[in-house]
Amino acid sequence: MPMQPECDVAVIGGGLVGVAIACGLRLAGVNTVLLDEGDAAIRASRGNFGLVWVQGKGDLLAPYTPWAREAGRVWPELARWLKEFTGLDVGLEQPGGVFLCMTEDDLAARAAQMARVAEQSAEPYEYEMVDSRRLRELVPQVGPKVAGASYSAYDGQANPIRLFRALHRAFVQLGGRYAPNAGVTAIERRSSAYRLKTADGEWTANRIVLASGLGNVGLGEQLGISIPVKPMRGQIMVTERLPQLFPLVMEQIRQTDDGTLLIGTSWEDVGFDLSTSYGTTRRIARNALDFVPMLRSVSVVRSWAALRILTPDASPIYDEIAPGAFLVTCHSGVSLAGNHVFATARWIADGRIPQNMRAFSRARFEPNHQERVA
Amino acid sequence: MIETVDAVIIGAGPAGAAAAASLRELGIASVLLDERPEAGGNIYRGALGGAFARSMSLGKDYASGAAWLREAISSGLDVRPSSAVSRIDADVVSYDSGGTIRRLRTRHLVLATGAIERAMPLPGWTLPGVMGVGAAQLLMKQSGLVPDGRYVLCGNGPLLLLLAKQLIDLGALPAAIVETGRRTPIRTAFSHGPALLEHRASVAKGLGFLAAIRQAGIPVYRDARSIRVEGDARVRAIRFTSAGQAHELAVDLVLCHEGIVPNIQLSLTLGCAHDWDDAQASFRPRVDAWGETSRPGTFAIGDCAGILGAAAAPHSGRLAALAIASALDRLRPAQRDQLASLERRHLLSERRFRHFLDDAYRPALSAQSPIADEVVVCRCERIAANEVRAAVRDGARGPAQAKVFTRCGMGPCQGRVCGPAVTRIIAEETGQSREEIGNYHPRFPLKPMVLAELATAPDEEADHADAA
Amino acid sequence: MFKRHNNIADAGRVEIMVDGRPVAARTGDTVAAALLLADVAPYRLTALDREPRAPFCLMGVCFDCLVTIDGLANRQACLIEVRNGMRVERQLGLRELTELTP
Repeated sequence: MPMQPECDVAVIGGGLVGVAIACGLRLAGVNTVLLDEGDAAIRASRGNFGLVWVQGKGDLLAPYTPWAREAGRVWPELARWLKEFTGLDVGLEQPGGVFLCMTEDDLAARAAQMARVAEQSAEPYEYEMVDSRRLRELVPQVGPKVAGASYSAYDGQANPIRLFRALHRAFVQLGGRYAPNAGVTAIERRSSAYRLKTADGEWTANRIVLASGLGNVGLGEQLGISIPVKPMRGQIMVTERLPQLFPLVMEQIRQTDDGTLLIGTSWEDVGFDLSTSYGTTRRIARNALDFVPMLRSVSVVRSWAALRILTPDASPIYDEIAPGAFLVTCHSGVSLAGNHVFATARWIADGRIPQNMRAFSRARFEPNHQERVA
Repeated sequence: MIETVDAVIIGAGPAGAAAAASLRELGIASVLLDERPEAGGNIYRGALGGAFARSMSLGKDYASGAAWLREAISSGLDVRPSSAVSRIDADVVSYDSGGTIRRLRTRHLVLATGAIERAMPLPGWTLPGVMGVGAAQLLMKQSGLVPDGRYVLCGNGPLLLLLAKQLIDLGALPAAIVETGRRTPIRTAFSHGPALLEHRASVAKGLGFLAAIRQAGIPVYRDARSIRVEGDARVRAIRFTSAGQAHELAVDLVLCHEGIVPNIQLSLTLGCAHDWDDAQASFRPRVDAWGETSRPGTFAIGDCAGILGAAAAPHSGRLAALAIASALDRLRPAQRDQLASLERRHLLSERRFRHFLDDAYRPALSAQSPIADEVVVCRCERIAANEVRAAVRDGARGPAQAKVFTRCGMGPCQGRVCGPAVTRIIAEETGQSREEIGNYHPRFPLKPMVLAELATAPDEEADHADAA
Repeated sequence: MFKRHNNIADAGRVEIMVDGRPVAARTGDTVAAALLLADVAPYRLTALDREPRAPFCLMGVCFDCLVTIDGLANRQACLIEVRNGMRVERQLGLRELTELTP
């Protein structure tokens, strides 16, 4: 019996990446269902730091630099649209940002990385390496121990949880179907459509989008495709509300529009362990006080860990891994949100990959890829 | 080196104190931590140096319980008051003591964190002048404070009646009792006949409370609905309807209460499995016959494992002590089981009486009728019921998603107060069961802590595992 | 709102400073009890929107009793005992930036 697909596209994964693409598909008029896991899902989106970050991206994959800059450029349009359409202000500001370096060695390494990115960039790439004195002109609260920073005017921040909610609300308002508690357990390819088994019944779709973060690994296996992502734990602390403090965004400590400070962060290769730890909490607190000594008496209210979804070159993958099966994975769901709503969704809607997304196929991780390209 | 002990007990109320005393009798040293300045828990607050520590003014139960508690902790236990647990990592407990973090390593962790008052969200409940009945009782027990001026008791439950009796005895009469429950139907009492007979002393005591209220001429408004507290900067009046009539009483203090629920913040944070207890309208950690939770080596005893009351608490504490002693090879299994059977008989008897109390004092306002849209449920972040409902419309199906959508539960209390209300609203809106929906996942630190204290935390061992 | 009952056990007297003014207390009182007895109002204004609040649960759960004690902000007044000479400051709204200077 031939299948009657219930929808044109099924987006698998209701995190920031999935819901952004699902919104974009609805904007393009595509009949879309968003299949999400339950409340206890491992969800990087709920642990997000909320930077809208550009500087330094593309270090290991040159085409990521223009893609990240494009994302920074379309963000204001996304924020404006969400405000109008959902009534939610996602708190975007792009006043420029600094990446703090504690030691001279850190500063030198950062300078080399930024120089590499700038050199690879086809369009002019503006940034500045600043010493301790200049840094404190930019952000007077930074402590004297900090060696310096890289500064770029491209960077900013948004309220990640309000963005997450606004995209969910927009998707539903656009007539999208949201299916919670419907984590996908099996994918079958039948002639020209996909049959998805979920925790809450079966769905059929002409096309599917794998947007499940670390869950994409298991979904990829269903299609016989290996997806090179692994978890990288980051721990974050959040403080009590304070008056607005900083003129710029700092990569390590940022203030939300609610007044709380988010303090990060760690890079820990510990598998799927989502717990916070005593030692890292202590180290993050020490670093924070070196970065901004005036925070000594500020109360930490909560801490949490989230798992970054990391590829070997820390860049996204956008790829049609089987006919009608689109893979999207990244660890910058906030920074890249505008691209995902507009460009990435359009690619899935019409099936033609735009020039600026072509470098992100998973083929780049195959052993002899470089030779073949050469 | 981190100080290592055989057992760490968190909470120095009757359950925790009994567990520690029992371990000591079995030759096992434990550390008893409590965030309060004195042992005794909430039930025996003030037992050491309080206003009524050695008086009969608050009744026989408090006096004898306080004496028992003093006896138990004076037997050489390592009690550490003003010690608030901030986090637990595997077998290491970190706690704050006077602005410094201290750590203990143990294989046996005993949660004895007691009960908290069930949140009773109603319009105006964030105003200064609205407090818990239990809160007022703590002020009375520790400091001898009694309400001054016009006040009402609002809600239902044994504790409300007890406080009414105690305050009447102290000459601080309430202006009225605004009861949210219905009177216990006589058939409810009949269906618990044997338990009531067995606990006839407690029944007589309860009837005595009712008689004292009647004799003092306190107006009692039954089955009160549409309760709201009025005022601007503080309470001015309480309004409600009862028996079809609207009432407004000018008061400056409203003491609310609809029973107590297990304090599960720590067991939630540790990821222990929890079950919904419909009779008690609350979640409790899943425990085995010894009180061990789903987290091996971690026990929950006393009211934090399900409300059974102060009389039952020492028995569950001793059961956990027996299990720990046996695990440490200080007690043969046969001995353990023999000693346990006596404790279990007591617990069973208390449980039978508790079934009656659960039946008789169903939380009316805070568990049955829907919370009005404009009522604040999250006091910290000032999130109203309609905002939680809007989060459900935006796709939230559980507390974690509702939290990120609204900030509900993100304040310093981390959902201790709003958790049950949020789970309940989601259940009402989605038709899922409370069990399916579950609870918040509270995070460390358990209480807010300043960055300077975290930064200067001891590092007895290099934290290589954490090196980034 | 509250008064001290006249027939209670004897205990020492303590004096604390609340926003620079002396407040009498009894040994064993918590800071919250001392402030409630003195009817200090407003007890607290929230950082979120300067809403007046006062101690609610008295058992360490609700965080509505937060005050600054001896320079340390956000202390739970219901869990801390008074001590002679203790300096208590009310938290009225968002913390001041000057308070944060190291």
